[in-house]
Amino acid sequence: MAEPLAAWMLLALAVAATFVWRLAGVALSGRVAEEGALFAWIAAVAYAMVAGLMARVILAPGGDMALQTMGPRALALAAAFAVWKLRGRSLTWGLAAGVGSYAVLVAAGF
Amino acid sequence: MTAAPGDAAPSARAAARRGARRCVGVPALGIFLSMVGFGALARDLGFSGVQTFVATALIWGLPGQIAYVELAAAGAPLTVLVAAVAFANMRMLPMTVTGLPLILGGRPAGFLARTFYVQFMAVTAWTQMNADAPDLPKAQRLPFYLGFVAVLYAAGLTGTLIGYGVGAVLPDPAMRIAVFMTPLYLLLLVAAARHGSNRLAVALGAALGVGLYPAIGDASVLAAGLIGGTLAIAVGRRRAAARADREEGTDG
Repeated sequence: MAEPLAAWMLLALAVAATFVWRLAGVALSGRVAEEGALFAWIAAVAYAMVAGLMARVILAPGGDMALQTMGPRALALAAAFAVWKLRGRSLTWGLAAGVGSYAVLVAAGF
Repeated sequence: MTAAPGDAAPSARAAARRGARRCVGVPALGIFLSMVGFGALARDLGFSGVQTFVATALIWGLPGQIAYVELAAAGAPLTVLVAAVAFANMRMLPMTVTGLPLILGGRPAGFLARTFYVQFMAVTAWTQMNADAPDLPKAQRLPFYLGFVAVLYAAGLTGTLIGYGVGAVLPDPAMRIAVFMTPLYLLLLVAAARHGSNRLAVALGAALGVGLYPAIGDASVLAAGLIGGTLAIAVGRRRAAARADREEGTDG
């Protein structure tokens, strides 16, 4: 670790590097019409970003994309979506199926 | 929504309580355990408890927090650290632009108030509000949001302290299952988006976020967002145009 003061400065920079996005979002939000095409595009980008991040974290939480660690996670993810779809997009059923099948795979030693 | 002005305060309190209750369960547990992981990681990397707590409290976005502790501990150059954190938490921009009108529900709020509200907007609150807000009367959206994030924030800060103090609270297999649960919950929530173009954006974003990760790392989130989101809108427009053409055809 760096010296105390320098460490606090790094933390302040990290906080600022996140805060600027929220601040820019606040500044922009009043200027983008909620029913407009720009808003729809920004929403689609946000949805795609969240999905991209979540899918990666589900399959490779530590960034390790080896098939051995990713395989069981991919299977459980597929089970979750299959049940979710069959049950009329039920969040509870999908989540239970995914977590349940992953738990079984972990218990089986994967 | 049609409540008399005199009812505003009690109904706001009720909405805040409903938001808080909505958070108890998978959202709060997921954030708690994620932040336990973050607290334990920060301690292993040699951060002080106060700094670890402040990082969670003021960054409030896990990918950026992880980038910060890992790069600061590795002694990375300043510019690299700032760029990596900014990259990792860039989704806050589109989330704020689209999340703010969602939680305000037309309620007037000053710049400082709006800035304060979105400080607590991260992926869980944004996703949950997108799912729940349209069904809430507009006047209840902000109190519901504040109740929800109050519980979420408390769970995240508590998790950070416990993770820092005791390390992992669950044995490894249980932790792996718990850490699998949160992103799956959020992915299923966004997959049920109301607009078809947003559902398509989710499918494309998920594929791109995973597919591009080996090549470009954390930048894959940004690429997935821009490419997936733009493609989804383009396809949605084309579909709408095709529909309009068909309708015109039957009319004529």
